Amino acid sequence: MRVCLICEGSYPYVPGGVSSWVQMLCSQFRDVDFVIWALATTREEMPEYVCPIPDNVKEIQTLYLGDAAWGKSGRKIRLTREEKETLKGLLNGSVDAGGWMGVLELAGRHHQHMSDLLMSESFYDICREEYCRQNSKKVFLHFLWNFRGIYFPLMYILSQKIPKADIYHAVSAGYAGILGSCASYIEGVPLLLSEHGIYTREREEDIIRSQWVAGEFKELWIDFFKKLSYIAYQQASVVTTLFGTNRSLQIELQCPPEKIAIIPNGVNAGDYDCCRKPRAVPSHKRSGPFVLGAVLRVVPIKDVKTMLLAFDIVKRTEPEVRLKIMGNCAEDPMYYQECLELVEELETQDVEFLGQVNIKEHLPEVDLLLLSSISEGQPLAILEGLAAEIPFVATNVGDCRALLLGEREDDRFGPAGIIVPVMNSEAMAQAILRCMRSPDMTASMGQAGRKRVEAYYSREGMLDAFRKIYEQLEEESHGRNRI
Amino acid sequence: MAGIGFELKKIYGRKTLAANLWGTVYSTMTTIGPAVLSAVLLLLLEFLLDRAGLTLLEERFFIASTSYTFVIATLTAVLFAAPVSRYISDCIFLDRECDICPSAFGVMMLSSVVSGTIMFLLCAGMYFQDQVPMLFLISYYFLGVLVTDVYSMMTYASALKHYKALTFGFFLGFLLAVAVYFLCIRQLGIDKVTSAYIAMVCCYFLILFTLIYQCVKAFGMPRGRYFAFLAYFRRYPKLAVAGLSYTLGIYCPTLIYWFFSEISEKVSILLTAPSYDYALFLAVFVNMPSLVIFVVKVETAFYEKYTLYVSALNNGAYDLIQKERDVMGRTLRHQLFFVYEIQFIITVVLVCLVSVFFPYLNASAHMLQLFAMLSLAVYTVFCMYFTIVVFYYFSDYGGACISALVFLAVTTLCAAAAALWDDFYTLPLLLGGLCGWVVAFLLLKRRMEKLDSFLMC
Repeated sequence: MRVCLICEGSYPYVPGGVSSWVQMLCSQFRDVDFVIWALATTREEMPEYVCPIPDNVKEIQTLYLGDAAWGKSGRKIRLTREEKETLKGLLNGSVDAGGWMGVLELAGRHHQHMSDLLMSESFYDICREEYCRQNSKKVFLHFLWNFRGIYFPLMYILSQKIPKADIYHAVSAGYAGILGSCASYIEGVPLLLSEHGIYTREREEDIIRSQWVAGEFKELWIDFFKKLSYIAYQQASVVTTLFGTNRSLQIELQCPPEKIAIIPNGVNAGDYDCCRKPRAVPSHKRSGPFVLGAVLRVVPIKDVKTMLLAFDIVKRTEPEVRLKIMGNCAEDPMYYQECLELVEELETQDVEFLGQVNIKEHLPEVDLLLLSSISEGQPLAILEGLAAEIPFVATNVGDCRALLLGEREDDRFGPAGIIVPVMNSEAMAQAILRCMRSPDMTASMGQAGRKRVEAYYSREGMLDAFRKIYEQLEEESHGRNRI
Repeated sequence: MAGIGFELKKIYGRKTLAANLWGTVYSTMTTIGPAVLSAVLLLLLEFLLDRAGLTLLEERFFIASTSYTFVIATLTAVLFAAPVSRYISDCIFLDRECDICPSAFGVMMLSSVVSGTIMFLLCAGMYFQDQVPMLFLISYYFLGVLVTDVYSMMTYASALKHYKALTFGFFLGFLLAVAVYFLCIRQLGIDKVTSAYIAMVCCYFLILFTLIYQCVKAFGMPRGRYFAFLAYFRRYPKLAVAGLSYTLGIYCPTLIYWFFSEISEKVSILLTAPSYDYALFLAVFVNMPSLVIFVVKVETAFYEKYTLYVSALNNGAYDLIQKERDVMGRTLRHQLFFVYEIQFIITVVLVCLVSVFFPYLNASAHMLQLFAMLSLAVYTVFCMYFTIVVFYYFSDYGGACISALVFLAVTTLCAAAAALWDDFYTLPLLLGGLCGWVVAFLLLKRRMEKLDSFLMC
């Protein structure tokens, strides 16, 4: 079986939860040949692979968006009536899965001249109609160029060569989802869409916060990403999600409910035995400083600054405490620099940015893990921490509450950490202090976490679920099981 | 006419009688100044030569040789004019005025090489066939090069701010020519035709000097980038073709008749068609007012609406764009038809006057017949030209190019046919002008219907 994994801004160029997940999938399904279709920004930003590539990854085809050259060549493109209708459908939001062949044919026919297509009179006419339909009072030229800017990367990726596969597996919606939809539609093979977060919501948050999109055009961009997700949901045979809340959100975004399967992330708890603390030593008799840890990329969405502020409060109360931040600091150098400046400004001691490290080497000395994200899915970092019997103080985002407090009816393990509101350094500091001052509670939370991971978030459970889906889709594709 | 709009708006903005008069002088000088000056200077010199008792052969030689000079100068200058005009506009718009003066020197260098080569071949031909005196040949050669340079520099005249000094330089050159003519004849004892040429060389040298001086004064001393404007030939090939085709279309019948028709006459090695040339010269003259009217009308009333429309395109909602486009379209239609109509009346009146009064000046009936038809032909050609200029505003060089090429093709084919049949010599220009005008008008009408998308795509 040949599975094409479509990754946007993640594997194998950017470390993080999704990349680890893909790496696990590839390395565990040794009998499956994988093709990685990676969507990357630029060759400068993503120059090399950040993880070892398993042998069964037979091909990595990278699509650099930065390679797309925008320019007016002077070549005039005139669209036929059918092509114009197809483009109109795509632009004004009335596109459906059935209209995809037209879009692909359009991209194929005007291959290498996609920017000319966006500069064509037909594109202009459609934008004008859309502008009038919206009864917009925006500056028309800005409206037009925003449309061009929005659709340029899409047109570019749609015109690329499609790798052959039995199943296309997009590991997010958005560009990866649309690329998977196109490939699936053209090649006539099934699409599996796995969402770790909710792509549309994440982009929506990014766009609302962003300064590069003018206020009045934010809606246009958000709408565009909704369209991409909508098409991917319609085209996919199966849509997987990590937990119930995300399923509800997907349904809200018009994903057919019968297609959605909840498959939580999983870890092999045994892999983290080496990180567990010996029970022979009572926790209240431990020596040395209390060590806080955080496994995260140093990027704004992880809200490292709130964590640093919380640590500063803790440090002022209990000086015998240290903070180790484990994770890539190079992804957003400006934000990393801001974090360093904040530490300097606060004059906080004992904060270490370790960068990309093997967490198993550092977890044994960590007493409490922190997660300060403002948006998450089902963080692998929490599962790994719990597997190492380390409790968490985490923000109330994504599935963190369920992971730490247990929301299943049959879950009797008790809390594995403390949930705090997002962007609230004081609450986080108080939760940390509570854990520091109650070593027995902290120890029992660590044990509860380990039991929960073993019961509900095992790697085997996750892999079995995906294997079943692959088998089902392959049957759908070829009518026989070749695994 | 790079930059002329700014100056005209400034002048007419004062809304006084003096401002109106000054605006007319300014627009006349920057549009038809060199042509009018050349014509008046030639007529004056011809008059003086007549009074001095020129033989018929000398007179024919003088007319033929000057015709060659001005045709060579016009066709050489037009090679660069349209792309250079766009280059100047861009330099002004991009605040890179320091690049203008070097390009003027670059244009002069290239046009001097082109016209200098042709003039050298002509002089060599005259020398080897008729042993024409060296002093005449030298002055003739320099006149050819100087007139070419002045014509090339006129593209820059409209961008120069010191138009008073420019006009003064023109008239000073004119007076200098008359003075030098008498000096050569009376003090230096040089023959009449050569004296006239030396006078013209002095006149054009002074004008060229004034133009260069003003250019350097306005844009600074040139420092490199002399040939940067050549990139505009690659960037705007249609613009270059349009500009060249239009002028070539006007002179194509003349050149065909010179070399291949029965109305051709030969003096030394110079072939001309005097009756046709003279009729064309007068026909262009009676149509010249429209050039001034067009420049004033378009660069003031239309330009204002055009800038409002462009501003709406860049910063306005679609409703505003539509509104400004409609206003601009109406203004354009109104101004274009005003020029079409007013020039038609002027042409008819002047043709009648010339037909009535020129017989008393010994003008032949054949020449007057040619003149009447050619006036109408030149009228259509100028109307086509005005329409083509509007394409330039919208950067629709395709429309301009097609119209000018239609004009050139029809004129050339018909002129070849007329030369074969030895009749209907005026028809080619009329038919070519009409076809070019109709095509330009229809294309412009179509362009106006989809102007927004054309400019934004």
